[in-house]
Amino acid sequence: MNNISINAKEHFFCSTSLKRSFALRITLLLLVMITTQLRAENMNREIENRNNTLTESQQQQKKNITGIIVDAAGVPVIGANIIEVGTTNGTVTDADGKFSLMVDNNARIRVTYIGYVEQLIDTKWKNNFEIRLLEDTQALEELVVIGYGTVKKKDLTGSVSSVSPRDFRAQPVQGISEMIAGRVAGVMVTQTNGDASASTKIRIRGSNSLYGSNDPLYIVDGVPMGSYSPSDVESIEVLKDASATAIYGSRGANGVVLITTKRGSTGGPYAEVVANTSFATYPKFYDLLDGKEFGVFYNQYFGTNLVFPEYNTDWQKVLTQTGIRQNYQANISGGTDKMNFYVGGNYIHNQGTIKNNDSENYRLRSNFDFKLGSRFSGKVDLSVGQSRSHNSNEFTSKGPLFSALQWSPCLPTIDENGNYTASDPYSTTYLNPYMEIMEANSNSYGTSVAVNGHFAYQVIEGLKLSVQPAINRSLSEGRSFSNSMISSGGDATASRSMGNSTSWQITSLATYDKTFNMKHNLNAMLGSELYKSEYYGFSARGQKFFDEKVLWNNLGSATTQTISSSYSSEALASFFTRANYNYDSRYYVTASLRADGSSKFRGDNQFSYFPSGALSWVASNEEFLKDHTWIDHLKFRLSYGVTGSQAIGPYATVSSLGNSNWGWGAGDSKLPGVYLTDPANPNLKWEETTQWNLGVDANIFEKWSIGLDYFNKTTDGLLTNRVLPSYTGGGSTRINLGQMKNHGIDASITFTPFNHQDFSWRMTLNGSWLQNRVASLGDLGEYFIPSGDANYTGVQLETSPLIVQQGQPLGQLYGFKWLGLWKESEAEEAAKYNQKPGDNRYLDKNNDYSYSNEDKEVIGNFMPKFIWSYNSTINWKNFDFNLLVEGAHNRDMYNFNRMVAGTIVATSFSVTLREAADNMWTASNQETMWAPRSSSALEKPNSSKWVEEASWVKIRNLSIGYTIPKQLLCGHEIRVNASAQNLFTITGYSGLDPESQVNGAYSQDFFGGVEYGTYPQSRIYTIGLTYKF
Amino acid sequence: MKKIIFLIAIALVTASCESFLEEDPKGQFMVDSYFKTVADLETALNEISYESHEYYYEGKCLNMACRGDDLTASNYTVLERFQQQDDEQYVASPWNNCYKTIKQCNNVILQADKVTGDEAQLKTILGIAHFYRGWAYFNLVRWFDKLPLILDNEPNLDVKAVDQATIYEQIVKDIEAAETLLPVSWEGNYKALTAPNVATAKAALAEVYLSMAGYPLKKGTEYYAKAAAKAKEVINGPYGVDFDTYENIFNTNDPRTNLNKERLLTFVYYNASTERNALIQCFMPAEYSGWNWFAAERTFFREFPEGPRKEMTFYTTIHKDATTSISWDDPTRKFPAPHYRKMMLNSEMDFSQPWTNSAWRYEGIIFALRFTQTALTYAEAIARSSGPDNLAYELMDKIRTRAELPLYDRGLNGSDFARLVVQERAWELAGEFTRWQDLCRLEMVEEVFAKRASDEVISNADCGVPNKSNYYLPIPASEKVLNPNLE
Repeated sequence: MNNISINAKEHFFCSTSLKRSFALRITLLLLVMITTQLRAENMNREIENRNNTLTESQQQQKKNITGIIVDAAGVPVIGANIIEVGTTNGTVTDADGKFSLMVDNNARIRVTYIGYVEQLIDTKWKNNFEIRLLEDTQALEELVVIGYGTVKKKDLTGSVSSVSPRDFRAQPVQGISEMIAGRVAGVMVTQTNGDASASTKIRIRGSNSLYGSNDPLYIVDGVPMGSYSPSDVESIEVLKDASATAIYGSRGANGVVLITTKRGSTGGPYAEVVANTSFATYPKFYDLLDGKEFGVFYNQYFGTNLVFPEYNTDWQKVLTQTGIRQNYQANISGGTDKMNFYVGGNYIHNQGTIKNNDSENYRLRSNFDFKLGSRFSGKVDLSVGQSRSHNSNEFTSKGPLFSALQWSPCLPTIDENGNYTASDPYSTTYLNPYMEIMEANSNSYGTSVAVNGHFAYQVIEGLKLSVQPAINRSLSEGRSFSNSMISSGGDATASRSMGNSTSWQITSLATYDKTFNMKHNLNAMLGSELYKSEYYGFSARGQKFFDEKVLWNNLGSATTQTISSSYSSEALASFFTRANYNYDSRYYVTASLRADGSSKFRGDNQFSYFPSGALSWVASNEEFLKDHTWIDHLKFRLSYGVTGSQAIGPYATVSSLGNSNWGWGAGDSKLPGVYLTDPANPNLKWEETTQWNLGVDANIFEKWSIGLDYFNKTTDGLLTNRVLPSYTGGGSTRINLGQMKNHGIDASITFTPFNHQDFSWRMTLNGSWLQNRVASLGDLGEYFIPSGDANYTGVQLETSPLIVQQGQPLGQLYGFKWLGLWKESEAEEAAKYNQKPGDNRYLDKNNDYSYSNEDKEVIGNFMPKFIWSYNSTINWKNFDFNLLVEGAHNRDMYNFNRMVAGTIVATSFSVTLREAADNMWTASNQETMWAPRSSSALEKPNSSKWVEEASWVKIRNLSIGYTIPKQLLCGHEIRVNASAQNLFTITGYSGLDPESQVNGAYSQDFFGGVEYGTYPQSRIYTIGLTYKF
Repeated sequence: MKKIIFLIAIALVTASCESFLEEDPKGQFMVDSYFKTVADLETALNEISYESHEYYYEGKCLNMACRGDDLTASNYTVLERFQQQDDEQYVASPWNNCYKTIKQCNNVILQADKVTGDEAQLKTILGIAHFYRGWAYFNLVRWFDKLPLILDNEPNLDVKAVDQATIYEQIVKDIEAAETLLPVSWEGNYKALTAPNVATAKAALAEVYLSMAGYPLKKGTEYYAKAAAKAKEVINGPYGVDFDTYENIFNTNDPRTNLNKERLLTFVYYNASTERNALIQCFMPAEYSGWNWFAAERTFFREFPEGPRKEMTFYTTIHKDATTSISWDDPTRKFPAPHYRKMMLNSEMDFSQPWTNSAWRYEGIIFALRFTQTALTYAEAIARSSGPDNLAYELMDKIRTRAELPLYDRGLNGSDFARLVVQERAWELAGEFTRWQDLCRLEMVEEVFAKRASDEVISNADCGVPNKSNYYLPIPASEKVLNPNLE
């Protein structure tokens, strides 16, 4: 019997050569100690048995080997396993790291220990060994969280990527999108709006759906609810292929992001405080004419002789400021072997780079683990959050940032009388953008509380039953006021709205883990889950106030009052099972099945089934590859599965009645009534994605880690609209009839050229190629123009500048092909179009001397075909450096900001862009794109004239940190760092930010690729401090 | 023991999924579950009235009517010039609107079996639904020569179009049903002004029979007699409808207070958010901040007999400002045509002064059916069936007296009398949506076109030649794309 004493812990406590957090190490140590205790008991029993049955001759063929196992620093390793290869004969090292074992003369032994690379040693020539274990920098032994369980990284059969906090430690992250951006191959994170609290688009392996959501499923500690701050995060796993996501059934088609929060560990309490202060600046301004130049240009252009006010306003600059962001995190954790706790808090305050815009967030989390007896364990987690935002997200399209490019520079923001300049007689009919920004007053508040429990009971060895109940309550509130200056219609409007939602989930699992004959490893799981969510909404609005000072606090004093309330709820009942089997860690088979019953569907469609299977071969564990020691790990994976996306809201299968209030011509009062709306389709079902994945994972030369995946997905039953003929009453209904295909390659290479105590360098290069195709639009025919409404582009196009075509990828830009300006020598040809030299010339495909719908074609695509990222971390003595670069290639954007500032079109009546004013077409300057004043100029917004190549490379993060030597601080550990985010962008695009795109209220993925009035991402400079004690 | 408790707990938690997955929308009204009582069904009538009011919105239903000799258009003239295109919004608009009305009517009629409650109220509800459905099909059948007949709300993307005869059969069925279900009057009820009553149904039937008697169905004498009989029921019946003065019918008072004696089917618009109609804007001269889309044809105007009726009907002097006034045909005007005074009625209007406001109140009142029309229908129908009788002469005398014109000669034969009545009808109901249908059913389109003066704003040279194929429109092309069976 090995005596394992608790004193061994002290070794790890003092050791500074270990790079892992000692807390995790101790937890793992305890787990190992417990399991090896049991296993050692079993094994020793077996060894004794075997010894008793050996014959004398057999005993003569055996020998006793002894040895000591140490780590890279020479410290003895306790509890390392030594096994005679091909047998069940083995032992563990004692408190001094020593072992002794009877083995065959020609035996080989395998030495394993968590966190260290496995070693195979021949015992032929020696009987006494000193074995030095090398750290497992490629983390093969590390546990990876997957759906409803954990698995060792080396045993993964699906395509799963892990992100650990040390990957983003050097960046002042605020949310999940910043944590995974640029860190996972196959995941594209797009911040379409520079507002700090704007929601980000995260896409795993492309877009599956046209009208349904393409957002991945977010699971926090096993439930789709709960708030957390970045410092609470223990690990993030991104499940990408079907064998990993099918266990989430009808919600897994867009990929799954698993967030696991920290647990306390034995010892402590350990505390950490992180403080970051950032300065965010507006990244770029268009070069506009100043006040005087504008006046001169205007008179010359229009042939007038006006006298202009003598002000000089750069409207872009008056709207923007340097925003200060503060991010404070603190946590404390600790425990004993029977219970542990983690408590963490986070406070964030962000000031926008646009004036009068800020937001605040408070979060608190408390995680508690306990063990009762030897069989029962549990966790209770509580998370609360509170948020407030003022005028955020106001700038997704059009709006003040757009009018800032049109307002005459010769006008002041505030006139001599102290009033906002009311209107711009020269350039535009839009309201004074400075007034719009400063008078905006729209606020939203949120409070959420979540409780998540997990109770597990070990029935017998290997069989565990668990129940996980969770509940989440969120309240959101809105308070807005729009005064008579900025309100459309001139009447002040105030409103208050409330949303109250409750969700709960209960998951029951039975897991069975067993190893048979040391070779056959089986892990089986059976589970069921119930989920329900309810929402109560309420809003009240008042219009026209005699005293605007009341804001939203006296809606009863308004002339017109509107109230409304709503309710919705949805439920999901599921059963699922999974089995993982591997033979000798070489041949792996995984199969899973989930059945989901959703309240949103009816009849035969209510229940859906999602199977998946995977095969995996760890070739590096084969005998024939064992001699190739340069191959540390080589795995081939093949998986197939079906996942779903519910894609519709509740009640979508039932025809509903709308409200129709009508007075019958009799007077001012209206009678309430109902009317029949569009017919619903009772046969609606989920969108189904079938995915194949072929992958290779290779760790070679101890420094390289390569992952390569090829995936191919087809999404069927895409929700599309079936337009109904007007004789049925018109409108449309939803049907499942489309198909989308995505295929591509995700590649990830991590190279650790140096990994020493004083100097280590680790870099990762991720790249993804994606080919998307809208295989079928169902009833819609060959194409449809996603128009949203005319305000989508705000420039009154006859149709929207986008198109979705069958057989083509999403993201198509559609319009006229621009051929330049008519030259003097082409005057005759131009006359056929009723145009003159200097006017815009477009491709006339059908030669009918007019530019009409038949002449339009695809002129670009805003979805990148290739995205990549490069993340490099260097630790040198007490310094750490990090560089994160991201790029997206092969895409285009419309720049309507530039168009509206440089031409007379739609709402813009004059020119403010210097580039245009200095470069107008004249007979002596014909090589230019800026058309002169002409009634036949035919400036068309949806044309290739305004489409630019918009690939980009951004330096997302650049940071340097310094851990102050402990000696100088009486043993306290403090790290200071300075960093910059979005420091630099390399792009040929002339706009403000190639990533920011119009999205507005339209969340479908075929909307995008247009810059007008968009809010670019800020350039941020941060200084921070981390204090551990 | 602990094991067993645990297993039971799991089993309980995973049991009973049935009701767990049932949807209960609470605040939303679902078609399958909402209609339980008669009161519920009553609420579904609002939209029927709303959509029927929408038919006249911005005068889109008038572009086709401009083919007649009483109206001419300035903004969209393709239809007027007999160069029809079947997929323009001015053709699609009445189609869409009528079918929306029909959809809501179908809903009420189908749900009627499911509701319980006051039988009398249920009858009136069904009466309204049947009437408006019949009226919507009547509007459609006078525009299009083939239509899909839709009587339920299961979207059918394969349905074939049927001819006008079949549609007329359904119209008669619906309005006859309405005749038995509608009340005599709605006095004291908010529906008093705009909801149809028994007299409305009878008057509508008279118009339907009159239309069926002429081209293309040409049911002839039998149906003229039926039309006359129905019209007589209205004229002699206890419904309180009778002739009224021009002043009482066409004035600038609040339309909600217009209780003239002629009203049979009325649509009222006043300047609240949903109850507005920019039709008035369409008839206003540009000098008065109007859109000036519709006006009268010169030939029609010149042939119109002088008198109080002409003064009430047309507006000929435009006051540009306090001192300057010009005539309707002043060559400086962009659209020199005589304006319809009776379509310019607005409570802010003073016909002797120039317009001073910047925006119009979108109010108005439209008489889709009024007593004068029923009287004229009787006179024409009786003349074409058994010959003009005393009642016919009596009615025409009243009309001529009101217009301060000499009375008709006695002893005229049927066809002469009818011809005079038709001409009188054109003058009485000038600009009121009926002339074009009269020209079609009487096959007079070509004849009227030929005698247009050469100085019309749109001269004959700019038009196609009218013939029977221009009388009606084909089904809109966008509908045929969605359902090729409609050919």
